[in-house]
Amino acid sequence: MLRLGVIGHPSDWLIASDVKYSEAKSIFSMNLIDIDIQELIDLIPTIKEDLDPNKFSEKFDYNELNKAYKIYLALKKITEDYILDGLTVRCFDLLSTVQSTSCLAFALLNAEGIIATCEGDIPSLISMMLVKKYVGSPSFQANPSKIEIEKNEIIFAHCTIPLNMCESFKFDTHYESGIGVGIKGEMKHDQVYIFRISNDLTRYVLLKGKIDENLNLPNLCRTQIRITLDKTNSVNYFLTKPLGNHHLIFYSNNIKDLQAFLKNSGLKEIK
Amino acid sequence: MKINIYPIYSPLHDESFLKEQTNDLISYLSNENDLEISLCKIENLYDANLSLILVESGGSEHYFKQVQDKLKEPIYLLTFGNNNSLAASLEILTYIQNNNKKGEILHGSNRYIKERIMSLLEENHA
Repeated sequence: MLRLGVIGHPSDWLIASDVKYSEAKSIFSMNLIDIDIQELIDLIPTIKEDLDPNKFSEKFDYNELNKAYKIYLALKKITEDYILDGLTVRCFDLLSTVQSTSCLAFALLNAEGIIATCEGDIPSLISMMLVKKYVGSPSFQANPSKIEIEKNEIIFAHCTIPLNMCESFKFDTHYESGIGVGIKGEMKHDQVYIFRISNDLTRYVLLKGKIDENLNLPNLCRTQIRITLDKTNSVNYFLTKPLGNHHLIFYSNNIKDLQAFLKNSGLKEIK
Repeated sequence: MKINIYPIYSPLHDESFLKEQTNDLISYLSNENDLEISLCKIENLYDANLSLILVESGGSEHYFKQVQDKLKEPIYLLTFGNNNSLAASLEILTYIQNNNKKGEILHGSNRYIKERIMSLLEENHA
């Protein structure tokens, strides 16, 4: 049984992302464990270890990087204390309490294979764990941000990405708050899949596409990619029958095990 | 033809910037068409040929929930994409459909949005 921490409740704006814990356990063998976010907030100032100034070659304000790095260390301690395989955090609560963001922490944890998703998003957490288990790849949890229907193109953006999914990266502030440390990653132009399960755990979407471009648009989260969907898939899914906001993007040439598991578990594919 | 628009947004975003983008979109949609487009209060949303919810930013989802009881199907969510407004629209449309109601997101190039709006107006007029 996998153990996944839910640190704080899902963010208030995730109005279609509530999950029945008993069904996550019975369908996916994932045990969702609630952890009070105050435990994380209280733990962060007790972290004595400082960031090695030479750990990252990318230039950024050291004090901001150090604050964000302590969030990573605190989350890592929580994963050890609770014996977690992954976690999600109501991360916007850290803006006012810690004056920093967990984007760097998630980028590092995911690159280490500890699944971590933003905003307390449980369907994303479960989806990301399924990709890790049945595909063996890390995933980029991202917001669908712009769509060109005529070109079958979609832009995804978020302020964190597993560092091992980037060809290169820079640090920037977190987009919405303008504080903390966000990740501006550059991704390889290659075939990807876009995936998520529904919050009632009965449906999933799995779309094939190709990353065409890394972008630098001013009014979106920091890591930005443009994906053109395969001709057999349509961006109309997002406008007419989406399964929620966040979707996961992962590199792979082999999704047979994931598809087989989802089918055997009784989930219906949405196109 | 009259279109009423009720905007929702999160205070996390710069309100003056959101209003600027909204005004740009309304100006574009109003040009070259015989359309009277107005931002309105929720009470007046349906005093028009077409009624739209304008999702101006991410984080506006729970503001949608506050007015949902006053909305009629199908619920059209107009969005321009910046400031995570498309992301919010997806979460809202999922919520609408999870509650067995009909809805659609109007998003894309300005040209696509205009064509889709004209098509909806024709359907409503027929």
